[in-house]
Amino acid sequence: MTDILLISSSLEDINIAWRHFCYNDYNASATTNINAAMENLKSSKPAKVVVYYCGEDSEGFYTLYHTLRSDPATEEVPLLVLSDVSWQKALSGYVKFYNTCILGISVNDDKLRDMVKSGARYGFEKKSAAFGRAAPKRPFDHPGLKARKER
Amino acid sequence: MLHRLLVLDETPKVEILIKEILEADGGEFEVKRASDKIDAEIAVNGDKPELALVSLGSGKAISALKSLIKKNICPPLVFMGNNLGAKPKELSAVKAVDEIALPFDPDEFCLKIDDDIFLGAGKVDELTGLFKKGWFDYKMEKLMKKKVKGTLFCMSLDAYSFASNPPTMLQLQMASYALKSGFKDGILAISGTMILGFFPSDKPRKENEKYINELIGTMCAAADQPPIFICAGAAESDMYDFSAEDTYVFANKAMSLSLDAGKNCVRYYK
Repeated sequence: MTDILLISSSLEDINIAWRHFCYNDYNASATTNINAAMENLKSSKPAKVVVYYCGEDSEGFYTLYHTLRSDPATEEVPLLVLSDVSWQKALSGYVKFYNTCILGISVNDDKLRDMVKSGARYGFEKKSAAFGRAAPKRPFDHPGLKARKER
Repeated sequence: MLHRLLVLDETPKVEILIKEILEADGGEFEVKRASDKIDAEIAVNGDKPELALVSLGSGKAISALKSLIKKNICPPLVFMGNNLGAKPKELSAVKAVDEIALPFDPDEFCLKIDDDIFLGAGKVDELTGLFKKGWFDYKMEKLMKKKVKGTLFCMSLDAYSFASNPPTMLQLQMASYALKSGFKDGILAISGTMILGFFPSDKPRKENEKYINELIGTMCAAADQPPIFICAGAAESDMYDFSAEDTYVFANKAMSLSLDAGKNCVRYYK
């Protein structure tokens, strides 16, 4: 059984996902509170994968992501996002999320199980030197600074 | 200060995501999305956005942009796209403040948008490419809001002028603290936040550099939290024979000093 922590900003959304995970052989805990989620992840028996259910009315996904990645204790935790169709393009096409997998809520059970297992075992992203999450240095190729560089 | 952005894009919720990313970095933003000509015109006329982020992958967004340009109501532009090299032909003559490749790194995105708002507002000197006044206040305000843990080093090469002009509350506090404390030698401090200011000097440049490096070394060694550097005032404006690039050199020097000490890591805000 894979330990997962289910998070959503809406209690209604979390109920839908919760049933699925309980009936499908996961050891799941759930919360709508980011602080409670962080407590869980820092506890002695933390969840191996965080699942965020991003329903139509969800706000605050990035707050969770930012909190998770800013804390050294949780920065490497794999994050799986089950996203409503209204969110899917924005989440998957615009931002590089570290160690994060974004799936549509209509994903079939087998694929979801495979992804959760694989995330729990290997994470969703292998660390590479090229992927720098440290604060970026200010690029000198900024158009406003080009004039100075060329002087 | 509330910044207003317009996203020209058809993708739903992208404006909410962008707002959350920017606000997690400490700013306050109003982000609206328009996906066609009519919405775009209403948004531009009603909200007067400081920047318009245009998604090059959206045909409707490009039509909306063309309509704004035609009506001469186009805000400063930032192009976003997966392949910025292959821009539509009709946009080849359109000048954008910046370009952002998708998908973007959130930290880099926030830095770019910060800069672009200033570029869009014409607060960058076209000759030198350096930010005009106001930049330091903005960065400081953001840092304060983010409650960044660290010892703040502000590098100014003319601390008197920096402390009094423009007279913001923070700078007045600094100036009065410095006067009360009788500092003569370039270190100003307010409630645990260390501000390092260098007073103008007629000494040769080498002597000045040595003095500054020693001061930075002392400050880094004394700091019990990660030092954060902001260059400000004269350090940004090539006065007193020092340029913003010199400030980079000093900040890097300080970084290497503090990293060697193994207890502090230095972040540098420009």
